[in-house]
Amino acid sequence: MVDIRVDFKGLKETTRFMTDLPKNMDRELSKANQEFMENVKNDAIKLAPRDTGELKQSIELEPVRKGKNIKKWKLVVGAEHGIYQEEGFTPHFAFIRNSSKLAPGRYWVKKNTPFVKPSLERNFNRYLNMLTVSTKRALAK
Amino acid sequence: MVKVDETNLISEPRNNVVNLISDNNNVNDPATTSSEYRKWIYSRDPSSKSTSFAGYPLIVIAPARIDTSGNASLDSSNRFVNWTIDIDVVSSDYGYGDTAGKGLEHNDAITNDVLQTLLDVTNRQTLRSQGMAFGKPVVSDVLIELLKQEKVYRRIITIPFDRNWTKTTA
Repeated sequence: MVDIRVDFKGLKETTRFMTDLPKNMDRELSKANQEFMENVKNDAIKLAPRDTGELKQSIELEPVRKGKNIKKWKLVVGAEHGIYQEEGFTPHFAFIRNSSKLAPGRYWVKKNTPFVKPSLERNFNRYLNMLTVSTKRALAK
Repeated sequence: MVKVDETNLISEPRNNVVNLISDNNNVNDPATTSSEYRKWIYSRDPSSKSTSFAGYPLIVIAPARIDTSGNASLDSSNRFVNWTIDIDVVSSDYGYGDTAGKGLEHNDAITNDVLQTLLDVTNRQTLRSQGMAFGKPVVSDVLIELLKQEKVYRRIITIPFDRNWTKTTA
């Protein structure tokens, strides 16, 4: 007759690791999200067309909800014409009053300059790298 | 290279990486010969319309990001610190003579050299002796982007230095 004895060691550590993992993962990924959104905001400000500077100044990052440990962020473009620069518009005559470059009057406008989508595209690869790094950091804790 | 301590927590991690990358024997500039000098390592995207811009390919080593939220010693003199440094390799197909149409080729060659440098055992031991251990590079896809009417290839190498026991108080 053969006696077999099996000892399990490190069960306590494994349990602790499994309990802490969601918390650590959440913390690290939240940091990565915030960093990504800040990069997107900074690049959107860089890429936004400038005349009076109103559009650039109106780009802000806001938490989706108030409070501690914020995980969701939104990019807010306050300037009314921001959406038209981003999404485009039908060419038309526009009355321009407060340009720093043009005298007040009616002008034919046809070209838009997107600034949020290019900034997202530019930061997407960096974000994937950040997610990999954050996941590894959470697992290593 | 200088050891990272409480006096240089944010500056020296980047300087140490720049020292390795800027060494011609480690990372070779494919657009010039060894006898020529060209500024090609930057801390941010250079203005490609500037008269002093020396052309593509180029490397952007961004300022280090630091995370000091790790556990500390009982007297708080040492703590676990993480750094993250992004290295962007940027190249373009646009060029003169031999360098024309070689955007991706140059990007691959530079990335090969950067990875070889960062993974080299001697270099890793050198970094470890300066308080920057456990650097494991993560490499992104190549992004083709339009920069000032010029299509450029951009690859991002993120190098995290995790859980380094660092002196944070004098």
